[in-house]
Amino acid sequence: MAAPTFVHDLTTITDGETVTGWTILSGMIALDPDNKVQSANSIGFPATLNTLCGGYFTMAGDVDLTGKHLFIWVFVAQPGAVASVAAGGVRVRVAGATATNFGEWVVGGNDAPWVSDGKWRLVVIDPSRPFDFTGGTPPNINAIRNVGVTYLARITLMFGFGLNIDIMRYGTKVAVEGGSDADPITLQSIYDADFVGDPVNNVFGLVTKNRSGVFEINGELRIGDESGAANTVFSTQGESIFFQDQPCALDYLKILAQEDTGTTKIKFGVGTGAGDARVGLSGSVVDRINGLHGREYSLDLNAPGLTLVELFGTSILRAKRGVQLPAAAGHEGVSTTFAACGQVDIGQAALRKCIYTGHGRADTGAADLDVTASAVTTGTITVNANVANTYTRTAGGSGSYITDGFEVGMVVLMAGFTNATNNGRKRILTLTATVMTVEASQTMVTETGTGDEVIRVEFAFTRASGSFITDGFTAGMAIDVSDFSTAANNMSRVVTNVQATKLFVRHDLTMAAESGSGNERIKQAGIDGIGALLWNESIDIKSTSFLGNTNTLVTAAAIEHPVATSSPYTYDALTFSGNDFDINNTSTAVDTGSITITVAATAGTLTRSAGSFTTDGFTSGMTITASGFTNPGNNFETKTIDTITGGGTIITVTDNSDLVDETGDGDERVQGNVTINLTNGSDASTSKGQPVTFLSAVSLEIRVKDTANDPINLAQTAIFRVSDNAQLMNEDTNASGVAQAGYTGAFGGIYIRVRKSSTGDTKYIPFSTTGTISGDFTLDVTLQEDTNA
Amino acid sequence: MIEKDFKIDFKGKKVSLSPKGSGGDYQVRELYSFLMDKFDEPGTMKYEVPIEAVGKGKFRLVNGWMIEDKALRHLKGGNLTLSVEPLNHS
Repeated sequence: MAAPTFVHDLTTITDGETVTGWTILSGMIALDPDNKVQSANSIGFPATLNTLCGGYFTMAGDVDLTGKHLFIWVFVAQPGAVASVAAGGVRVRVAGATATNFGEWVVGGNDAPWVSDGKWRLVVIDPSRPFDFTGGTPPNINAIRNVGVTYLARITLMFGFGLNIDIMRYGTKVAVEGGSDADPITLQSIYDADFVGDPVNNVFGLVTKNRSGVFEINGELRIGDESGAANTVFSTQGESIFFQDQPCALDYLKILAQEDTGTTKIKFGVGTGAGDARVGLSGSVVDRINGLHGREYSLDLNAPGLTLVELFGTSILRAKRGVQLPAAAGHEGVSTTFAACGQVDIGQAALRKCIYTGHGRADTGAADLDVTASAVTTGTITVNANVANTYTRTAGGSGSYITDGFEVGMVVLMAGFTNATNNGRKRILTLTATVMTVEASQTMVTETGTGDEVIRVEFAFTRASGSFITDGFTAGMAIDVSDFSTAANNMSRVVTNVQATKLFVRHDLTMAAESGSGNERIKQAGIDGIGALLWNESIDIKSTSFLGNTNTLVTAAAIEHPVATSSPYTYDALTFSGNDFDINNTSTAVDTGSITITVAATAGTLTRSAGSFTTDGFTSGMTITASGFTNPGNNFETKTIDTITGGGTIITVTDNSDLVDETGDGDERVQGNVTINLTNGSDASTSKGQPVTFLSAVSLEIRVKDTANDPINLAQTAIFRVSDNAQLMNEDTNASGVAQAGYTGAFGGIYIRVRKSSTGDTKYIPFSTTGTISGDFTLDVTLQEDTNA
Repeated sequence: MIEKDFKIDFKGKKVSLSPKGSGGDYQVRELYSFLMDKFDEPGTMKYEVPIEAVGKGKFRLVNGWMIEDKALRHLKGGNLTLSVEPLNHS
């Protein structure tokens, strides 16, 4: 495994090797040589019961964090010493020149896996997100001087530290480069070089390791030389790769391939065999964990000029922000599964034997949504609090938490209790009608209620009509929220509970009550694009299955077709099953719009009074849909254009059946269809959006005999399409006088020629006729002997 | 050899005399057989046949085909009608 070179633009705030410059909130600060991730020491912070502990480092001057991330190493040595996430257990703090004017983001708590795991964690935080807690006047992130980590302690430690902080940096990117085909860089070599090779200057932490073969990616892992001539080969085989739950920017969890004047090769798994026998093996599994911050990941492997991208035998799970491969030939994806991903754009990579499944997401669409305060509440009642983290209601209100609408998993706000630690935000662990147990956080105090206690959900997304359940939302789902006027309501969040008219989230600290205007939207997090695969004009895909791409709204599609100019397209061994729609045709319509079109039935012509079908993009062979005519027969779904004449004003269709003479009155319309030729078992059949015509393969057969009814061997038989003179068949008859061929394409008019006049054999007068293909085509031909030849 | 004495311009629909040919004369029927033989090959099926028999020893050019004067002078015997009477797709 080659050791990579790290290239980055990170600036160190402090490396945790001295207490100078640090300010501690409670207790005594100290260097801790026993717990560190970088160099020789970290900064240890003691814990004081029910107190905000930790500290912050003061830089020499203000730093503009706009467009950057903070990279902070944190270690919760005593997970039980910190409060829960809901209570704001672990927070990153920033402040301007005046340290008391601060803002904090909650990044963990005793119920966050990275805290309870008791391991060092790189926290990668996007400073542009709204603060969860503030002190004084919150700072502007374009002038930050103090950075640190605080935590709400729930015990007092007599010795040792509740939380440690090591090196803190800010910046935008870290890249790895190096390796060769024979000795590529790997996740293990990145990890080794980062933490073992140079634990003083490196420790960037973009790749961390959980256990052998299991790696975590904590932000944007750039592979390749962005600006230079370095060559890079990256390989991953048989590994589990998890994008970590980070409070980073929406588009920051990814593997990003880049290349300048050197070469960059990205290899997932290995390919073996050639041609149709080629398979992909030994790939890795890629997934994410996002239960707290709800960030989704992407694989951005489409930088211009990338030398090689290979996805062999790889399972890519829940890449909600999509997968992109190069828009150039020479790249491959074989035996790879894309499960529950956002849209996959394979560019021009050759994709074979892949599976697309589980695409389709929950979405309210534009709807009238509100943010409602106290969406679930007990009202003012009597509640006894107990040190065992229980709240028992004894009088008042409905008498039942369940009747009030509380559910396990909700984050609720306790108020009215005499003891402060009984108040605040907590998450429900178990629930009966009268007893609510919450997760352990700050140590509670047994207390008898006095009749002024209130338990409520602070904020929830609500709607008067429609149903979040019907729209497909489920607990644990990350959501993107948009079009509320209060910016903080538009944050991406994680759903905890779903009711028909109420949607509850893990993180409601920054929300504010708001009555929507009717165009709000909540959707499952990830990129837009309805279609597991994005089709393009140069796509190279075969032998691939699209299975179960569906959602509760029945709007999901297997393939999005944004293009139409090269129609008809051929599907080669693409199979479909259980999709809401096999195709979502989002192509820019070849469309006349509403114009005046006159139909001449016998001639099979549609003549427009002005403009040009050609200019509008119509071509011979294209299938079209007509609408707006008075006579129903003229409003057809599918006919094929034979010719366009009259300077582009006249379409002649190949089939004039059902047409009726009609003079247009100005609201007629013709639209071009995307036509799909289904070959080698392809079975797409359903579509949404613009019209789609599916054409299956048909057989062509000509049987040739003489006047004595004997079959004629070696007669040359040919079939051509009238619309464009394309040759559909050109075969000799066999000994049985039969010539056969398969055909997939537009149906319509054909002409047929049968000839046999070769010297040395019986000669026949050439035969010709016309016909129409509307399915399997057969023709019996009797040739007359040519006595003149 | 007739195939060396006559040239076929498939796109221009014209039969002409090959300048490198023998300069010999042929029966019209020989030209007919030669052309029929040429037009039943896979590569020529897309082209319309240039000639048809209308009776014993009588032939006519069809589908817009023409024959060059010089070539005509090397044909003898039989009857070749030069009028153009297009046949669709024949």
